[in-house]
Amino acid sequence: MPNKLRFFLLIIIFVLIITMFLLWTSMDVLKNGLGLSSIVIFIATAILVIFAIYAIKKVHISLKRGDPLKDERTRKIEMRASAFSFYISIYWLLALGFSIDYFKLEIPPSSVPGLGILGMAIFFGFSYWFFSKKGE
Amino acid sequence: MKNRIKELRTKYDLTQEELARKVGVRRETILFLEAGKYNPSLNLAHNVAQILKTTIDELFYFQDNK
Repeated sequence: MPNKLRFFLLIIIFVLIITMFLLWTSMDVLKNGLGLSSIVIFIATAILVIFAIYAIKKVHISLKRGDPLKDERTRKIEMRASAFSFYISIYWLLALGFSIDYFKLEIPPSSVPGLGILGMAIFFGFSYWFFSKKGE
Repeated sequence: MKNRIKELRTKYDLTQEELARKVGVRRETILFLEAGKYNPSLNLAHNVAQILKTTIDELFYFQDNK
C-alpha cells in the first residue's frame, strides 16, 4: 500500500474512532447523567486524541523524510506490543469485572466490552512506546 | 552483540539517513543497530554489510562477557 494512502487511511480511522467515542460519551451523559462511566470514557477519548495526534505527526514526519512507514524493527515491536497488550488485557478484564462487583460501580453492562477493548488499545499504545524506546 | 556499523559508515561518509535509505529501513533502525539495541535479521545484516563493503562476521561480533 502506498505510504500516502496509508497516511490518509490512518487519519480516517482515527477520526472515525474519536467520533465514535465522543458519541458514546454524549449518549452516556444523556442517558445516565455525568457519572463515573462518562468520566472514564471522556478520559479515554482524551488519551486517544493525544495518541492520534502523536501517531499522525510521526507518520507525517516519516513521509516528509521519505522513510518507509514500517520496517522489520517496527513490525517486531508491533508483534511484541500486541502479544503483551493481549496478555495484560486478560487481567484488565478480570480486574474490571471484580471492581464492578466489589465497588458496586454503576457501569452499564453494554459499556463493559467497550472498556475492555479500550483498555487493550491503551495497553497496546503504552507497550508499543515502551518497546520502541527499550530496544532488544 | 557489538558492531562496527558507525565506524564503517563514517569511513564511507554516509549519514544514518543515507544508509537507512540504501537498505530500505527507517533511520531509527540504524540508530538502534549502531547502539547495539537491535539485532537485525540476516537479510538486513547482509544488506548493511554489502553497503559498507564488508562481511557480516566482520561487521557484527560478540564481546566476551568474562
